[in-house]
Amino acid sequence: MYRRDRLLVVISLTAFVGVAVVFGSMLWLLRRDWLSTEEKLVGGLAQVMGERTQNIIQDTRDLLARLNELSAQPCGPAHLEALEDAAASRPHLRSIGYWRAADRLCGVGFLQSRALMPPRADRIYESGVIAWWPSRHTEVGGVQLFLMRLGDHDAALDPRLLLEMGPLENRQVTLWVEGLRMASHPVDAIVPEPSTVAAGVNIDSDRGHLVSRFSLQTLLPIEVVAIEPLDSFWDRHQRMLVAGSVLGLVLTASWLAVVLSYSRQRLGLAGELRHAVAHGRIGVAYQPIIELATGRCVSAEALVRWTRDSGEVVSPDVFVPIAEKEGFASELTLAVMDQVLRDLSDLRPNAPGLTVHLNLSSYDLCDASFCQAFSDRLRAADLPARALGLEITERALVNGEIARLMIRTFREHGHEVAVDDFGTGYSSLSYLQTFEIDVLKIDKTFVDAIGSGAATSHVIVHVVEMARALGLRTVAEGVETEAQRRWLVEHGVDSAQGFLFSRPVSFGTLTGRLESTAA
Amino acid sequence: MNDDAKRTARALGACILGACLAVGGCHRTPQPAPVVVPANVPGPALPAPRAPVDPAVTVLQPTGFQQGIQDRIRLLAGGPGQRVALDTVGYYMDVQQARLQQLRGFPVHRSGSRLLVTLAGASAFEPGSSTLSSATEAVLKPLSVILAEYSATVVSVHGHTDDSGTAAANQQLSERRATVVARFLMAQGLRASRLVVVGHGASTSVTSNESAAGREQNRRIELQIDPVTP
Repeated sequence: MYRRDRLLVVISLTAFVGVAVVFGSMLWLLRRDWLSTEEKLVGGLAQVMGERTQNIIQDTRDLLARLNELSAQPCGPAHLEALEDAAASRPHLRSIGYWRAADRLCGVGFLQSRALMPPRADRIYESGVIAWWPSRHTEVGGVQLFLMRLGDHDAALDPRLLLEMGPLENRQVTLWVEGLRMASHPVDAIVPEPSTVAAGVNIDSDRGHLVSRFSLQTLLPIEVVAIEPLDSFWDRHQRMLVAGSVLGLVLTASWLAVVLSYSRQRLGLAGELRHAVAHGRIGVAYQPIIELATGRCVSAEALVRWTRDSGEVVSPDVFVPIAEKEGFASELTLAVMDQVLRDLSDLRPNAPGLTVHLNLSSYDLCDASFCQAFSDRLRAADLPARALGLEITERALVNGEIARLMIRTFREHGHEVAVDDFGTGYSSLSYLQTFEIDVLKIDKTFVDAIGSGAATSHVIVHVVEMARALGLRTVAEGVETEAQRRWLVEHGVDSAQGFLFSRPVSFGTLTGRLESTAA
Repeated sequence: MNDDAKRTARALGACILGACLAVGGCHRTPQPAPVVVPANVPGPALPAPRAPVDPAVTVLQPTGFQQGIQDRIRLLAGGPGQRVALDTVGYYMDVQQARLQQLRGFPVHRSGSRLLVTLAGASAFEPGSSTLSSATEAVLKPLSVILAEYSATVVSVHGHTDDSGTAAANQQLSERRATVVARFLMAQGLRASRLVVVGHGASTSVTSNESAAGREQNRRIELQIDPVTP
């Protein structure tokens, strides 16, 4: 699989996972928020209802105990007045009765004529309190009452008043005391038993309910179970859901934009080139430089080569500017250098005098850290500085002081420094005096003009003379014909390179040529 | 003639009749027939109606005594005394149980519509004795108030001994103890017709007689309370 395809798969997967993560976490956060809101609401209500229930039950018990202690004549005016006072001050009390065994002798409240005698008590406490939880046996006028008797008095409670009606809205709520159902809202609510419900707020997706259970370990074990249809739960949180979805979409869009821009970068020429540079997949071709006097190959220019994963060969004229524009020109130079150093380490023992010329970009000469990286590599390769010549374009020299210092440093270390493409730049010739250089490389355009009679054909004569005057050696580039060679020899140019001698070749071929000329 | 006195007389008559109807000689009248003063009779209006009252307490034999109790219940149900309607039996016994539990001096056990009160340990008898201690009386007094209020029941008094002594002696002792309790309850105002007595000797131990503590538990009075239903 090509790197590009792999990348595409990875990027698609990343995009998908990212979107899933964004939406997943949005939903998770919303869900958590809702559930904790619900927990606070229902839990708070349960607390209030539970405490009220317990207080009412205790109050009723204490009231019955007090009534039993009364010394007033049973069913006399004082006794009945005490019962009336007690009932009137407690809205949840439906009636209070005075009994002799199973005979209700007198009482007050709404149930004066009714003596409720359920067949079976739900609880008979050691204290003598008997309690009948609401059931059909305690039903009066459609309301199932809670009965409590202690001694000779009993009281009937309306359990509906134990439940907070207001904030319950769409919920069905039941209140359980000692595991027995005490009150429900609405009255016919179908709510699961507490023992079948986990504590806290739960989503029961099978039944489409939100189920909450809260237990209060107060004096009496009290439990509140509430259910709410998920529909109404969602309705309640619709605004949040919409806001969450919009936020999710925004996040997703941002994420996709990030992934897209990344993929464009990685999948584009620049990204691929950067990847190749970073992974040392930059190739090097060597163009031999021939000493014109002897016809021997004394050095070679290292030329950067790059073949894409797809097999497409990209011209340096295309990709070198990209590296410069994308800011990794120095990395590219160093990648070439690494390859050259590897090749040289292999070759050098066979050709001790060989110098390989490395092209430096103008960016390299602006960057002090490049100098350090350069010398670190050279030291690691254990090669003499002589083995590596440096070619610098005219344009790089324009940058002035830093470049000048770096060039001086290179030369002090023993590197030969050549000016490449001489004559194509815009600067004056004055830099040739300012900069300390060794070699002048005459650009191909001037060589092409030799014998053509064109205006430029005279320039090369002056260039050669000037170089000689400055004590610089000269190398002619792009020599293609025998006539050019002869002219160069005649005019005392030192060396030349070009198709006439050799195209850029692989390292292996270069080695072969060196061996043959040596022999 | 006062209504209560009439009712008492009739009830006792029914009691004797019931005793005669019961299966093959399973009960007899104890030798020293306890004398009962009916305390539920209002004082000033009544000129001591002792003469028509036979204060006998029916003693049932330990074998088949439950049948005897059922017979007594049926007898009272047909009589003029208090009855509990079938649909209020539960309520009646629930409330009575709660009242008994409130006394806290003894365990109250409930099975169906039957209540069982056990008086053991300090609230029972000394070894070999059939004399009510003041502690026992202190327990029985409030208990009898409740039994009097919930009058639609038959109260069977079961006497139990530990295993020291001969079986015959224990049988006699247990009957005597139960009778003493029954007479005390009658003295507190319970109608004799509501009471039966069963002596079990040492035959029905609740725990081992090996230790003194175990024997004390076995030396006990059990009050079995059954509702009178139509």
